[in-house]
Amino acid sequence: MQPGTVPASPLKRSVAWQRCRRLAIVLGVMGICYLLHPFLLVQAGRWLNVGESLRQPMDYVYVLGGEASTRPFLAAAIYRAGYANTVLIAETQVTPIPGEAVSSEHKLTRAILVNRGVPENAIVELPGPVDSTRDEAQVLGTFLASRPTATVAVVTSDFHTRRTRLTFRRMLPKFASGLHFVATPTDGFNAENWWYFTDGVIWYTTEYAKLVRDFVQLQASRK
Amino acid sequence: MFLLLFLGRNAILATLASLLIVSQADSNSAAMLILTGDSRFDVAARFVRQDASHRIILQDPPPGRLVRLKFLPSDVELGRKELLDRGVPEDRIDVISWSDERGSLVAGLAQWLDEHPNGQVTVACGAFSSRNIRWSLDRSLSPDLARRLVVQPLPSPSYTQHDWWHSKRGVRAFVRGWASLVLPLVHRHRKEWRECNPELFQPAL
Repeated sequence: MQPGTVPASPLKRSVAWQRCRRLAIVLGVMGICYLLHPFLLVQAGRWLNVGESLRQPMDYVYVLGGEASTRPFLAAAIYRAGYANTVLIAETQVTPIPGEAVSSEHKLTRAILVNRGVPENAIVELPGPVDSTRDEAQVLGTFLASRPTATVAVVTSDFHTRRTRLTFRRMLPKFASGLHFVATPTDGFNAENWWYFTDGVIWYTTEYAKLVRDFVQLQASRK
Repeated sequence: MFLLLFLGRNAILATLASLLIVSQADSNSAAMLILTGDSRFDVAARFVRQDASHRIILQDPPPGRLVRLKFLPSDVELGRKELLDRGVPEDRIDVISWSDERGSLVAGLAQWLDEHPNGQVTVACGAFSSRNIRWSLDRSLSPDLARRLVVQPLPSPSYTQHDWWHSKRGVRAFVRGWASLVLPLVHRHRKEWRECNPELFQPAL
């Protein structure tokens, strides 16, 4: 030891050792997360998908708004396969934005359904306007009020099925046993690779955020 | 610490958004490439009104399923209609195609710049995507060509960098802006974007 230096007290050495240990633990956890990130991200993506296979015919198939390039196609396939006699769509808000081709999504959905073999008279438009999954649950609830035993296949994107199931079951507990949730694949990405795509990151991360928000809001509204 | 973050949240969120914005407004441009942004057609029409020799460039990305099946107009059809509605003459509009499926417009843009060797081109885009676009152009074009492009961020009627978190469109643009910036850094090898096949929906039944 050099003259004039003071030896570190046992207490200081112990604090320094604890800090080193904490840092090592944090770095270790980060390293493990990095090594396991493909597995963890796939699991996070898969967890959002609670889509079911339809085992029996339903009374209705309900196409949720958004992802018009996939959801109406699956609804039409369900109809054509004889799994439902009527397709429900909800009236959406009309938001004309320059440069955006879709001003009213339900009209686009109807056009796709008709093009894919669903007769006009087999499509029922639920009065809206709807702007969220909760709105869509609400208008379905109004429709089912006079049909309490009806069964409905709710069609939405794979990553959106868990939040849809949560919302519909919480908001429509009387009809919950008749609701089934069917997942459509998404263009471009899926649970196995979503984090490679800008849209995948946006959809999956915002879906988790919305899931937390809806869970909290639905819990609060129950009390 | 948390109290400070809470009290300063507006400033923090606005600063995070400002990092996404690059503004290089330039009055010498002879043409304007319009990419994104809610006000892009109004800005383009004003640009042509300023000088009758100004040109507007539209991009022609590969058509998605709904465009191919004629449920929706293509980006070019839609853009052309919006511009004509605003009084832009048809002969002032050029179209550049994407080089490959889900690739990029860089090759088409480079060709356009070669064919029009004089003057600069303003690239009009949504404010929160402007840094990513500037960065992408700098990475993929030669320095000579990249220097001829100036990025002009367009304001949105729905939000600004100071209140984006109050609107859905603002939040989506913010997340998209950051994701577009960060993802190329994280993933060196791009995955191929593929449309799902609607005929494969049968497993759900």
